[in-house]
Amino acid sequence: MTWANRCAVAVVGVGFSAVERRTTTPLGRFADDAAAAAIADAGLTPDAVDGLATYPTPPFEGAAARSGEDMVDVEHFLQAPWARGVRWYSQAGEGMVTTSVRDAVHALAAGACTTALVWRAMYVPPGTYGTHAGTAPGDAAFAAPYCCAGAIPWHALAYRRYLERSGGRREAMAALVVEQRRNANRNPHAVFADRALTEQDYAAARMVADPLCLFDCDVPVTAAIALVLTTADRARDLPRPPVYVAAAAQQTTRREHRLHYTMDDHVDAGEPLVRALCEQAGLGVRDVGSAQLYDGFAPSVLYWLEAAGFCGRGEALDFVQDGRVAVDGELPVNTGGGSLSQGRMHGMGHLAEAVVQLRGDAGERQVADRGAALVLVGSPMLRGGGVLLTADSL
Amino acid sequence: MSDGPVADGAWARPVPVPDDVTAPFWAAAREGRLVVQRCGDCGTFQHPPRARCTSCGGDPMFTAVSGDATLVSWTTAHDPVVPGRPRGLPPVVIAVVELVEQPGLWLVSDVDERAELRIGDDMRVAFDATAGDQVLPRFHPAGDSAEGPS
Repeated sequence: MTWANRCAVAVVGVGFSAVERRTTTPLGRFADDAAAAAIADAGLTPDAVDGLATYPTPPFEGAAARSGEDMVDVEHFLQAPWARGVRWYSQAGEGMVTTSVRDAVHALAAGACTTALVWRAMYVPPGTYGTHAGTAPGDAAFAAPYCCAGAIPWHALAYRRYLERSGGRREAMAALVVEQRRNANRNPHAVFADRALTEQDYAAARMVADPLCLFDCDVPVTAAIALVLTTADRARDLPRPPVYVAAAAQQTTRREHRLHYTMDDHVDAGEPLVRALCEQAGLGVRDVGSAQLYDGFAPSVLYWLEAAGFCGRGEALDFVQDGRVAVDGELPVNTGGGSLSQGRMHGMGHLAEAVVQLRGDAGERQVADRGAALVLVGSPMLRGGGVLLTADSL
Repeated sequence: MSDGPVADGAWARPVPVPDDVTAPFWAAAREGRLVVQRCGDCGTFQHPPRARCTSCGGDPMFTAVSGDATLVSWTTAHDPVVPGRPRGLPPVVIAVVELVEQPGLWLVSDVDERAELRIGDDMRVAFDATAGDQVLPRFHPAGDSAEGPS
């Protein structure tokens, strides 16, 4: 059954801050810049914003989480001088930024607000990760004492198992990673806009946790990206072409473990999310013109490709060869560079890139097929979500 | 008993903090016994411990298991991001093992560096590492002459 809110809401503004690695400028300033850019892009003034939604979780555990410094939560914008008209907000603790988009659609469609700002700000803390106190409460007690902490070992353990089962070679990943870097080289908002990457660079990269090498891991950045959403009827009066939210769903698949990925079930875990999106929009995967697939670690792109049915189980490493996922390929993937090369924005870069592509504003990296843009955030085995965006109202 | 090979004398492993649900696991480990939750109603094992059986909603109880397992996956992690661990120490082999009692019943371990590991290898528990005042069950390739409970 199609979604009651299908294309009821549109993205009418998108804004990017500067993108840096480490900086002493407070993160809140990056978020202010992105918000101002998005609101101006929408042809609005800040006092038009009466709804706020974000997923603010900092990308590290155990360190400080000060509003406006280490993270940008709802409170940061409620303190803004222009925000006195805000009458609705939502701050997601699970599900990443696609949850915030879905929340905003619901609020706008229900009349809880008229104009919603949705943002994500990401921060690289000083020093190395994990420098806080050495105790392991809760589930971490069963993993951290063995050096299994954070996302890297999860992904490495899962990826070894994936390669074993699919018969794939880790060297073949170079095709995807280098293609994404080419895209970033054509994206002015990418942290690696000016830095090339070759297959030789990939082959020579140091191992982080085998089979994951350095270039299989996303690049931490300090940056913010914001979107402005409003109802479809209001969108028609605004200057930029509306990009409609045709579907928005959360990853709710039951899982057994939280210590690490369950490793063998990425298709089973991700397929229901993609099916829900297609049913909401009344579209099929064949209608997808481009895909922005979360790549905190490169193998997640493989898992999403298989979960969405773009190729069969265990076939994704073959699928990404020969330019098939290039901007001018059969299925353009991560056309802005993704988290690997645009920068780690926990899915917000993927969302913004889908909007830019559907507007036809992507310049040298513009895809030809401006059919539905699929955005899948998180990993099939984690709590994320997805949206389907369209240039035309369905 | 020492802090084990991972600690390498240069740092201390993060210390498990037992809570109301997990305390029996750590108490048993101090006695050199591996126990895992098993549901009193449907008989399903689960780990890590939970307040209820995730299969049927019943009451889980800690049950001794054999300590035999197979290797599910592993990775050699360079400078793993672990609370309190300085950079520049030797890499660590992090593994997931599946207890023979039930498919999907997985535990995390670090493994002494070996020439050859293969998915499916037989593994065996030993209680040869500590973190603070807690004893850690660790898994070794089954053919090795691992230390037994100390």
